Amino acid sequence: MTAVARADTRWVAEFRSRYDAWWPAAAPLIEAHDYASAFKSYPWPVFTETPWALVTKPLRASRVGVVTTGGLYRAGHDVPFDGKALEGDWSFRAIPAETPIQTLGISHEHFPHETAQADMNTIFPLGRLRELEAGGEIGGLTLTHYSLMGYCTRAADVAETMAPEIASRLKAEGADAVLVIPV
Amino acid sequence: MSLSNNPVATGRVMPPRWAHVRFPRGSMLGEPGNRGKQMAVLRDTVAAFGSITTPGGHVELPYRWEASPIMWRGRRLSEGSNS
Repeated sequence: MTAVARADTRWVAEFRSRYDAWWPAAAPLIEAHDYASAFKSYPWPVFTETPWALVTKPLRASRVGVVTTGGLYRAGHDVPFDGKALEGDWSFRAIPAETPIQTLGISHEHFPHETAQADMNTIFPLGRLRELEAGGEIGGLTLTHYSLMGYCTRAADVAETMAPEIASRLKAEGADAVLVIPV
Repeated sequence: MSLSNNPVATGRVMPPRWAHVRFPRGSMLGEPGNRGKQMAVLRDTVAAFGSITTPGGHVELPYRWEASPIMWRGRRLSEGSNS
């Protein structure tokens, strides 16, 4: 469905420098769960362009991948995310498409879990997407989908390690379109 | 394509395409068990792959939270990540 997209990484070096200056004062505030105060001075990355790729395939012929930030993992298979880490966790978990989504665990501690625990389709809608596939509304799903923990202060590490690895894997699996669900 | 219930945060990230949903934190496709609404959100969102033709473009989805507010760190959430 899409042609080439490229990421804007010009912000990374400046971010790392500003982050190192921000963290010593922010850490005790985060430890005390005073997130509002801690993030008042967070060095948000400043992007100068939006990545873009043209749609070149109809949806009914497109393979769709899903990335959720819900901190989901396969209980008994994956190591849970470090939900208590002050800087968050910038690893990811690969979740095969056939995984029964209600068996997934949640290790992201920065959002209320009751909705997802009652129905995982509310943050990771593989069940509903399979229905769209069965009805011919999308071409199909990638063999693997991805989960990360949306709380992570180390944006440069997300951009330089986790995000390109997930993008590379999705591309290798033939994803034409990717739905990102920030929880 | 990103879903978003927090346009301010999404604006910082500058995704290529996004769909605005007015659901509380942790409930990005609506109420648990509401298959019809979840399907509608997904259909509108994937359709926006074709209808958004400029970088950073977005669609406003019309759906609203129809259950009790979600309590989160002392707040009652029904419309977005923080409200």
